[in-house]
Order: sequence, then C-alpha cells, then structure tokens
Amino acid sequence: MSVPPADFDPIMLAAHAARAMSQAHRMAYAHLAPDLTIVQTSSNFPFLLESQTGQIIGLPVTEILWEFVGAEAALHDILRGEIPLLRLEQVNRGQGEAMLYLNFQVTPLDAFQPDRGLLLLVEDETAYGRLQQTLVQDRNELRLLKRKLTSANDELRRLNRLKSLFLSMSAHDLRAPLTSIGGYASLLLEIMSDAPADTLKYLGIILSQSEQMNRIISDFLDLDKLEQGLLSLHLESCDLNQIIARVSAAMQVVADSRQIAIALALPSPPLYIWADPDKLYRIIYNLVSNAVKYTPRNGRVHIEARQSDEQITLQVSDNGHGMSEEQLGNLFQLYYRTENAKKSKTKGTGLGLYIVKMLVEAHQGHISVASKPGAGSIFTVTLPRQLPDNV
Amino acid sequence: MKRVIQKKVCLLGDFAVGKTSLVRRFVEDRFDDRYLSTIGVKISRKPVEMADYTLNLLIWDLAGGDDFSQAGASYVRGSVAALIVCDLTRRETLDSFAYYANQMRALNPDAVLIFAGNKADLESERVIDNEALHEISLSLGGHYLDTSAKTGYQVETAFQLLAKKITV
Repeated sequence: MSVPPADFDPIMLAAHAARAMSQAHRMAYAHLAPDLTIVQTSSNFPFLLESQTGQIIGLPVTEILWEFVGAEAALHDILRGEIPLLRLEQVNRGQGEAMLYLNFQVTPLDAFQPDRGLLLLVEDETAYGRLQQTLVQDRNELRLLKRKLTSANDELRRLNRLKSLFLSMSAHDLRAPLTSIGGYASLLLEIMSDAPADTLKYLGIILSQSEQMNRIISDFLDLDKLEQGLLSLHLESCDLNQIIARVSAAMQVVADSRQIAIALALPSPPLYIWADPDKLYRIIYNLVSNAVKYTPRNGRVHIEARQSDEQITLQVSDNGHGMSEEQLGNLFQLYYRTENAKKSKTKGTGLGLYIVKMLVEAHQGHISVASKPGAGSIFTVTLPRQLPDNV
Repeated sequence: MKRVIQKKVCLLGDFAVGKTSLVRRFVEDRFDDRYLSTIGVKISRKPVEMADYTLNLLIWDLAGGDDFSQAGASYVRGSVAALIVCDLTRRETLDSFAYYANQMRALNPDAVLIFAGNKADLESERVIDNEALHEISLSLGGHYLDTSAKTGYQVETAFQLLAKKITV
C-alpha cells in the first residue's frame, strides 16, 4: 500500500518549522516597521523578554527594549541597506539565579528590499552564558590571585633583602668585639699558664664561648647566602684527612669534658678532594659537633673516611639517643630540633644540619642518615672527588 | 510635565575595577562585596532630574579586559558618554584609560568622557596618585574623580557630572 504525499502549503510548513525551532531553542522574533515600531511578534516574544508591558504592538522598539536606545542610527543603516545586520550578544537580563543571557540580531525582512522593515530575532543563550560566566569568573579570580601572589612575593623579596642587610651589618659589628674577646682570652691563657686552675678554666670558657658565637654568626651568614643563591665555592685540592684531624682536635676539649671518645678511621695515604676547604671544614665540624653534643657521657663518636675511584665517603657515627623515623624525616629542615635536643641542656639553633645538607649539595654530594631510637646515628656524606668547572 | 530624554552611556574599564558595583551603588544604592564577573552587557536605567527635563540614563555595564576587546565595539556604538574606571589599587588598570577612551571616541567622536579611580576606600592599598590620574584624564579630554562604590563616595557626583555634560 502506498501513502499519497501530504499536500502541505509551503508557507504553513515553514511556519510550523519556525515554531518548532523557536520552542526548541528558546527563540522569539518581532517584525519592526521602517519607523522602528513593533508590527507583530511571535507569541513567546513577551515571555522570553519577561516584558511587563501589556500591549507592545505599535510601540517603538526602544520603549520595549532599552538595548536599542542609541542604536536607532544603526537600525536605519540596515533599512537603507548600508549595513547587513546589528547583533548584540550576551545581553544580561534579570539578576542572580534568574539571570538570562540573550542574543539580539536585527536584519532586513527582505534582503532585496531592506526598507520594507526589519526582523528582530531574540535567542536565549542562558545555558551557554552561565557556563561562560563561570569560566570568566574563574579566569579573572585566578588573575587577581596571581597578581596578589606576585605582589606578596615582591614584598617578601624586599624584606629578605632588608634582613640580609641587617644580618651582614650585625655580623660585622658583632665579630669585631668577639675577635677581641677571643684574642685576649687566648693571650691570657698563654701568659697566665701558671694561674690558678679556676682562672684558666674560666678563660677557657670565655674562649670557647666566643668561638661558639663566631660559628653561630657564620651559620646565619651562610644560611642567608644559601637562601639567596649567593653561596660561592672556592675550590682547591684539599686533604680530607687533614681537615678531619683539625675538626677532631677542635672538638677534643668538649669531648674530653664529657668523657666522650672520638675515634678516627682514616686511610693512610692522604684523601685528596676538589672542594672548598672552609666549607668542607664546616660540614665535618657540624656533624662531629652534633654527634658530641647529643651523645651521653662516656659515649663514643667514630669518624671514618674512605675513597673509591670517583667519590669519597665520610661517615660520622655515635652511640647516642638515636632518632625515630618521623624525626629523621624532618632532620634536615631549617630550624628543626628533635624533642630530645629541645629537652637537653644543649643549646642549638636548628641551622647546623640544614647548612650541612646545603653545603654538601653545593659540592654535588649527598648526605643520608641512619638511626633508630636508642641505637645511635650514622651520618654518611658522599662527595665527588672532582667537580666540574662550572660549580 | 518635564520631557523625558533617554541616552545611552557606557561604563568601561578593566576587569574587577568595580564597574558593576558603581552602577549598583548609583541605581540601587547598595553594595555587595562579592566579585561577580560580567560577561556581555548589563543595561540599567536611572532617571536623573535636570532643570527642565528628566534624563533617563541607560547605563551599559560592559565586560572589561579581554572580554571587551572581543565584542566591545558593537556595544559602545551610539553612546553619548562613558565613565571610564580604573582600580586605584592596581596600577595596570590606569594604563587602559587611553585604550577605552580611544575605542569610545573612534565610534562616538563627540562622546563625553569622565574618568573615575574606584576603590578609594582602600587607602592603604592605593598605588596611583591623584596627580597622575588628573594628568592622564585631562590629556584624554575628560574630568577625573576618585570614587568608592563601597562607601558611595562621589558615585552620585560622577554620574551627575556625566549627565550634566550630555548635550540634549
């Protein structure tokens, strides 16, 4: 059985199609006369625009839609065929949750006779508009945040520069009297060798404390340079054994006072390494000093060095309190001190190990630590024997 | 009965300088601290009483920054005046004064321009001095004033000045 083709009027068919499309896409239209008054509209035109005006036919379009105030000249240009269309996108209507985003487009009713009147199309693009608004909102907020962060960073950099200036001036001012104190204490120790034991003891304390203050000042200055990336290494061939021996000798008095034995296990031929000797001394001194400080009386500190073809390994071990996993995880953090360290009478700044790590890394080396509570600690430093020229 | 005249004016400026807040303060006399980016254009109407007529200002609050440059020209056409706004706490927003003034004048050569430095209430964060603002505004052919949408400082004055300078 065959079905005869429907005999639809083409104009009716077009009208049905237009109605279906306008419902599906929330579109409305109005026919404007050459004098810009509204001649007729689609039935949904007032609803889409949420127009409060009852009768709109015969009214100038500028009375119904503020959007076209000021656009009269452009509308007349279309009627004269001078421009093809006028389009206004994302016109906001309503507020908050009820905000609508509408697109308006005005074209001639008849492209061949534009002066016959205009077709105004209104398209509801709220879903797209809301999505775009969210994107723009996020983008703008990110830009504002980025700006705030940049500004905060600039301020921090400025404060950091002030801090560095203050630090270097203070260090300079403190070092001069400290040098005098240490120098005169040392001189007195020499010329008063037959003085009563208590006097010599007090002079020794003055000397060692001034040296300790000097080291703290050096720590702060090094830290400042490290943070600013200004630390420079003065590389030369150094005998590691000799530096270890110097550190051991410097720590001997403190170690003896607490009956701590410092044992060295160094290979007999000198261990030559390409490094900054002052920085290398600081690395070893800080590790040994820590070991002596946090090892109980009658304890033992062991310093060992060995070499392979390309690197030198230095180990400083003790039989002190040891540390937990959590403490080990934070050990190289700036200003970190373990609970045991805080509870002990030993004074510290929490700078030493941080600086050691930075100095080791500046030499392209590596530091690690193995420890367990009650089982002591082993610090292992590996350093390349040669460094590339650009370090 | 006084005659009623409607005129289109635009609010221009970079994003987040407070354009929407200025309109809200002027039209509804309220302020909301939350920042809500405008996309496209929001049109508000406010009658301003003049000596022998009522001027209905149709204020086009346009998206700022990149979003303006995409569709801005079609929006500003037919405007008789513009309030061009910068944020006194963000120096780069002042640099855009010339851009918006030129855009406006290119399409509307006789347009009245008024320049406003908004967020005047944030005194401690202010980074643009009045001398620079007045100098730039004069060089672009407009008056300048500080405003604060938050406190309402000189908001009414800015729009009144705009209305007064519009030739009807």
